[in-house]
Amino acid sequence: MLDRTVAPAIQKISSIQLPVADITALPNGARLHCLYNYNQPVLKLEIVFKAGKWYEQSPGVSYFTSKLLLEGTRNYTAKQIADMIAYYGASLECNHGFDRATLTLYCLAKHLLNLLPLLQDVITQPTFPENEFLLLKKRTLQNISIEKQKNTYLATKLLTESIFGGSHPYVAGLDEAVIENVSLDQVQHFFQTNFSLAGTEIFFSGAVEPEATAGLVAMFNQIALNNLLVPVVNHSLSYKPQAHYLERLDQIQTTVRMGSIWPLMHEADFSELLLLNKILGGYFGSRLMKNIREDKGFTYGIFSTVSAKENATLFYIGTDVNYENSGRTVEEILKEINLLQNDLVPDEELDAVRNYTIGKFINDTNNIFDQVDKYKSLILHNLPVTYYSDYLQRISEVSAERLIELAQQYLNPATLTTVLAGKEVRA
Amino acid sequence: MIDFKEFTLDNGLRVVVHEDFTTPMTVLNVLYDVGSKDEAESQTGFAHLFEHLMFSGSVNIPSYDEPLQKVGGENNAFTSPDITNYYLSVPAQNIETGFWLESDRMLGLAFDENGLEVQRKVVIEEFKQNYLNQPYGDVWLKLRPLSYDVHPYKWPTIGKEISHIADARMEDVRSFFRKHYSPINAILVIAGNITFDKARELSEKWFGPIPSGEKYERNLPSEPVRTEAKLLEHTANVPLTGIYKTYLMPGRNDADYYAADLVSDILGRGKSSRLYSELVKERKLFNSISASCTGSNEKGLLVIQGKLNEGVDAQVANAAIEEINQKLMEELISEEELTKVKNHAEASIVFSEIELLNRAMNLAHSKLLGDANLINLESEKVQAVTAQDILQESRQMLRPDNCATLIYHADPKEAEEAATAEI
Repeated sequence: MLDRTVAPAIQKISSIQLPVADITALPNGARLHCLYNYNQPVLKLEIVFKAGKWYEQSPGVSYFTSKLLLEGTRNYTAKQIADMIAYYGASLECNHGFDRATLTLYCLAKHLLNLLPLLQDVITQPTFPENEFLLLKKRTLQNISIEKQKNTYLATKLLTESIFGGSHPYVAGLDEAVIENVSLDQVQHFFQTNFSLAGTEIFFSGAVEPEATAGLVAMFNQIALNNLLVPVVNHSLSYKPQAHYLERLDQIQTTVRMGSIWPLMHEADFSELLLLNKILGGYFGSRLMKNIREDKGFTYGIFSTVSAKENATLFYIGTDVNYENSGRTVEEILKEINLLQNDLVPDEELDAVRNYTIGKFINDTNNIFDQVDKYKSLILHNLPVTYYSDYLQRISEVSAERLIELAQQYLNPATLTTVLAGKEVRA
Repeated sequence: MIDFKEFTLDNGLRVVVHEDFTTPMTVLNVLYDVGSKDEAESQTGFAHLFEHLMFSGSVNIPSYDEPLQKVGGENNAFTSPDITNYYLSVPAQNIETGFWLESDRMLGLAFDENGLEVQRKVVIEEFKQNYLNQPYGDVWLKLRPLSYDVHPYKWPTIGKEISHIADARMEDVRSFFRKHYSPINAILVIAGNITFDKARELSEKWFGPIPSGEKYERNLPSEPVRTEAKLLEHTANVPLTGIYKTYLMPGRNDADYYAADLVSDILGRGKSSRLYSELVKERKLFNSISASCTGSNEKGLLVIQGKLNEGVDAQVANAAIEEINQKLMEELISEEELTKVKNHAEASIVFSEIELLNRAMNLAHSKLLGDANLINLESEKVQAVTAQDILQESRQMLRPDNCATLIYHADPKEAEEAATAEI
């Protein structure tokens, strides 16, 4: 007779093996990283430029430059670009990140060579048509007006402004005034200085055949222009914790954000802090979820997260709760932090969260595109190839005593910035 | 091409196995043949609330999540108008824990009063977060009842109103479980790094002893052909006016489904589509516009949705959409445009097969539609659609009297008041 009260025996989860890239240095200063996997006949090509918000001379420029790359080139109109991409069932987008801007192409392997002429035009000869610029500006302003109705948008923006300083590139969201002020000249100038191939990292993954690589290399070798080094940029950061209440009378839920600055990916405590974050609010079984959702039913979800950018790491807790419970939610968050600072995490919980973290890592590197994302982080953050195996090793060794130390140092309520957006509860 | 083998346990549980030894993971996907369309109109949102309760302990195991986390696994679930689907991923060597957990909650739940109490609150907060406290969040609360007269697709999966969730009682939970959560009403897919033999052995061991349950015979009213255009106008505190147009379209098993799906792509999939390039780029009437299909098992909806640029008259914008539809009803599309949407559809199918869990879910859904192998026939069916089929389907589907339109007006006054209140 089957005894359903007894769990099946637990097997140890084996170590991970991520694929290694072939790296080719191109004459114009870019590097091509190839990762191969032939399970599906698909390709992903990412060209990563030093052209994110970090590198802007004035705010909003990276956004416009990235978006306008696909809105007209010397040989193709915006409509022709969209049609050609769609005709081959591909997708091509350029997204400006906090640090870099990435042009990403997904396509079936059989169509790559047909798409290269277009791709070359996009990265070398965009025309930045004025009508497209003005239309994008108008649509962006309207989209911001919609975003500004969302509590979560306002709260995250205010949190990052408070932590990084109002004009820092790591502030989330865009301002209408900033968008209004961007000029087409600035966009063209930014393209000239920052969409250079020197220092650009190119990631080519999936069912990569030799002809495809050859075609790609030939294309990049033709690009002689625009290979000056991208200027180095620095932004200072002096963090002082703050507290803000953004009154929003028509809201039935209150958004809560609490956060601070944590160490960079390559710094000593980072790996262990990821585990501490998991325990606090980094997965469904976390303490915040158990307390504030599964015990109190205050919210549909609560999380804490670690957002590692190249020059700063942002840690924050976030939730949306019935506005009447906002005060109690903050109290309970502080209570959970206090517990982590004073009581040892029980062995069983520590064991579960470690295994969960390792299993999740394996699951998150299950397909080639997930793997290239992990690999990309190594390159962009300048980390050793052993980084992830070291990380998993650290996770399995960190002690409960060490977690207390970390919680005292990095979760100290006096160092947290708190933002609430919603209807204030009055007694 | 996705290889699979299948069998049915004596208790009626249909099982599909897809081996893939290139991954270190194994997934279990359990699909229950019950969605919000099976709810009573006086108790909407129940299938989804019930899904939450499936995590509040089963008959022999007090917590579902913790034992799975302990073996390195993760899980989630979703409810749609058609189905309720549960899935977990775990490093392959620990897959038996997944069988243990999934089979126990098919056998029986803890029916814990406190669990119900908490999940009612959680779902009410979910309702507020996603449907009430967002600009345009309540669109589907309005659009479904406008789009359907009789079919239970007329209410959203989250529920018509919060009171339906607040009023849910434990006896309703018990009878819902008895009626829908049994082997005879479920499909199990096992996929990833596991042999067919092992999958079969574990299925028999853990799911085999569960009593079969009673086959749920669905008897839903079918939505009649729509013969009159409908219009609903609503004003809310949003910055841009929205237009939402729905057209009744064939269900997933209908021979015309793929033609209808391509019509939606021609109209509104991406920047190359007719609606986007003409109305956003050329005429500059819309800030954004797109078309999509709900992909429902029974008569579904083709949905055109767009937000208007400030100062554009809603009637003008609406007429502009109708004009584009009209053209598709009158003129054969070019081979080039047809090839474009087919290539796009082909790529979507290939890309959807990258992720193991997606393959498992799609196998389960295909099996529910009658044949797990439908997953491998999709591409062929898309390729078989002709320009003539597109013309015919457009004439059938895009008729103005098959359209329900919601105009969601921006109220500049309300928006202004709210802005003042912020300061």
